[in-house]
Amino acid sequence: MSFQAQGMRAWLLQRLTAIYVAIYTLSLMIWVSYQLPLSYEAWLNLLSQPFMLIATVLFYLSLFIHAWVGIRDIFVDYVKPSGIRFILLMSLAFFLVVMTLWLLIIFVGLVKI
Amino acid sequence: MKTKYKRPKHLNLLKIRLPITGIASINHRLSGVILFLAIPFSLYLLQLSLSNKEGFTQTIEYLSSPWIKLLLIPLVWAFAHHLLAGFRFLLIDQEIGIHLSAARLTAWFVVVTAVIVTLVVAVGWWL
Repeated sequence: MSFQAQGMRAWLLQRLTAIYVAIYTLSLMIWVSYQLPLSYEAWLNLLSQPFMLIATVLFYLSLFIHAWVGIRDIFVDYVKPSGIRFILLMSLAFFLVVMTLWLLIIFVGLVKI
Repeated sequence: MKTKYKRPKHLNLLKIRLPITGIASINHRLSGVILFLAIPFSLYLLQLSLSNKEGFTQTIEYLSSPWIKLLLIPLVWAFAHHLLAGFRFLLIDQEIGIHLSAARLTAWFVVVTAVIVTLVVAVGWWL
């Protein structure tokens, strides 16, 4: 995604990622509620399945895109000085890149198992 | 000749009286920020829970400790409100519930249901 997400694309991305994030979180909550009390084996098995592994990485990537658009909107609405706004947007981008790397480290570890 | 009008600016948060649709909207933002702040904690707990059996047990212990539960209550509200209000906005995009009376009714529904869900979860945790 480019630094300046254009209006229509940001609008669409926000909605598509919202739908995916909602479906993933609700499905996971329903699954967990049927497995209570949740065991380590069941939890690890679920998340190491290729389908669920990809679905979970996609969930976080969708969440990060969703957060980028949402927090960017808040900065643009409330932070008027362009210098401070730029620094905040760069910090947000940096934060989300770090979160993405962290996510990949977690799941690369799972693939080895 | 230009007349300088003084527009009333009620930026005093205690003086602002938002309509219910405005409350649903600003709470959507607030809940979004809370959920955003929870991202690193969720990754930390995900990593810990998957690391090994001890890590998993530790994750469950963290999540069931009273102080963490207290911190999780705003998160429960944020999740419930953001999900419901987001769903409402998707319906509004589809031109469902766009008329004022319907928009007010769904806004009330979202705001109240999110609070009820939070209370039910909180009561469930402490009973």
